[in-house]
Amino acid sequence: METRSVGPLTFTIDFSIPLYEQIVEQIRHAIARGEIALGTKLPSVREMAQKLKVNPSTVVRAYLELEHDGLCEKRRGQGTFITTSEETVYQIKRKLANEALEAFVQTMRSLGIDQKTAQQWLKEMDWECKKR
Amino acid sequence: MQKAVELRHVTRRYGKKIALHDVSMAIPKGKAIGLLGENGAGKSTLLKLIAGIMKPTSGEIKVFDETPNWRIRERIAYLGDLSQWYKFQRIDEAIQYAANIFPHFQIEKAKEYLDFMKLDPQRKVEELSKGQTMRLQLILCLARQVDLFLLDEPLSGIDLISREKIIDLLIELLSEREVTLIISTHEIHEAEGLFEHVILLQNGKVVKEGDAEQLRVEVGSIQKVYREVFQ
Amino acid sequence: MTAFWSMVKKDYQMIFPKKYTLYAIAVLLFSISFGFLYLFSTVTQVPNATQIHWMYTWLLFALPGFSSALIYYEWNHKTMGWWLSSPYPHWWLIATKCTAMFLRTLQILSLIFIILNVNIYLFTLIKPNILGNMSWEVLILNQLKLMGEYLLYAPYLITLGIFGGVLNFSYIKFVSIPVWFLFGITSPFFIFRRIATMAKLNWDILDTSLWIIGSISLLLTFIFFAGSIYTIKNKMEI
Repeated sequence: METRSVGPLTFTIDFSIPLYEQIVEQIRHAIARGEIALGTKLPSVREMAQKLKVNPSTVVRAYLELEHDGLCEKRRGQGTFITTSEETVYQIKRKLANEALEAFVQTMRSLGIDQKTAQQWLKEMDWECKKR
Repeated sequence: MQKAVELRHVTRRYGKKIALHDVSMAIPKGKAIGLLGENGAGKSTLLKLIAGIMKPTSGEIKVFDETPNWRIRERIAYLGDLSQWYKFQRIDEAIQYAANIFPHFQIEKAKEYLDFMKLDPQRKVEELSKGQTMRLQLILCLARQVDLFLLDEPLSGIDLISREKIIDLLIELLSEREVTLIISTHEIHEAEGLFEHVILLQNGKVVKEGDAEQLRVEVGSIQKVYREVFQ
Repeated sequence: MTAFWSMVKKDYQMIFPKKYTLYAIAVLLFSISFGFLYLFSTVTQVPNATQIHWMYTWLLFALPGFSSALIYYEWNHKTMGWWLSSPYPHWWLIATKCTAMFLRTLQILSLIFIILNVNIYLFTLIKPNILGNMSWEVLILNQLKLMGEYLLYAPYLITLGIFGGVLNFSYIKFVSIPVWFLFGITSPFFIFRRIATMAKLNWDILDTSLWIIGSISLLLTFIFFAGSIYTIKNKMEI
């Protein structure tokens, strides 16, 4: 796995997972974390493909998927831009958080931990993860 | 799926040796295809048959729905194991010659690519290193405005910088327009991200074939697919 | 430049790549001068074209070698992929090579003509009687006739070399044996014709008219040309 940065974005590409999914995921997270400002222009397909060493059509497919989510919009002749709608970003953030929470709950349940205990432990958890 | 190439029961022999054995398959149009396999698996033979520089011993090949002939070669750019450039020319002479010989050769594009590949047009072909020669040959091939590119081992036995530059040039080409690109290689890792479709050949037969992203879901990286097949 | 002529130019350069041209000319100059000196020292005269013909005649042996070298070049330098995958019919690919070789033949013949006659002229300055009772007109005319005759054989010899070269990289290599055998009979035949009077050869066959020889040579040219096309189309071992 190699880390490559393209403009404001940083990617870690793993060839054992579909490439377009990784590009979508990583851009999505970057937006959710606020690493790129709303309304920013995404790197061109060509630049993205060159930097990531992937087929341009993989990038096209990823951008289409992001557009479908409403996270990006294509402006004719200008390129693809990140949405300016904070509402959309909030929803995506919520969706990603929900996915993470669901996974968390699943794990807790498989360990036989009830909701109350889990909530208690969660409160005691060092949010910055400094101990590790 | 639209087809660029179709093979029906294609067999090719060299004397008693069988290079391709009863191969039937369709190669999709408008994609970057990785033709993978060990040395002697039949990759070069397959590309030569598609390029029409030799005929199958039996079976049928269709390239853009036609049996390979000299007219269809206007739409095919082939770079094979016997495609070294003429040593007595200078790089700029080579470009001019290619422009004279090949219909739809984009001379401006070729000059742009020379710059991109860091080659000095005044140098003689015989002075170039192996990697630089391959860069030049690739430029002469990719500057042709054709529908099908056949590249036989463009990454083997050359230096790292040249390999990276070649991959960059291929990505550049793919972002310019929709073409069908068939690359045979065993340097899988570097070209991994390029492939949209892969074909694995072993002893003259197709042993695995499919969409690259689909294979990543099912098996993992193309390198892993390759290892599983050939181990 | 059209595609055909630029390919001819490439083939033309390929016969003697630039870096060897100087050596080739030097060797040519040297051998001709030497040959002339030898003749001069033995017979003290330039009797007639029956002896200076050797300055030209060696070409009858070399031509097929030169033209098959054109095919060997493509193979040895691994450039055959470009040649065979270029978008032109096969007859065209063979025709450029034959044309290039024919142009080279013209070039070599004119070089010999110039160098040889300048040499003879220089000798007349030292020994004015060297030409004996032969006039310059006759000497030049003899040479021109001889060149014309050799140019008539040239297409046959060139295509023979190309065919032999192509066959060498095919499955039907064995066909090249009779081809080179034919070359082994015909080139001496051409020479015997030339030296018949001097060597007192009274063979009827040597009196065959040039028209018949020319026609047969053209027929063979056509056969070898077609044979080369058939071979690269169907029988190449690449």
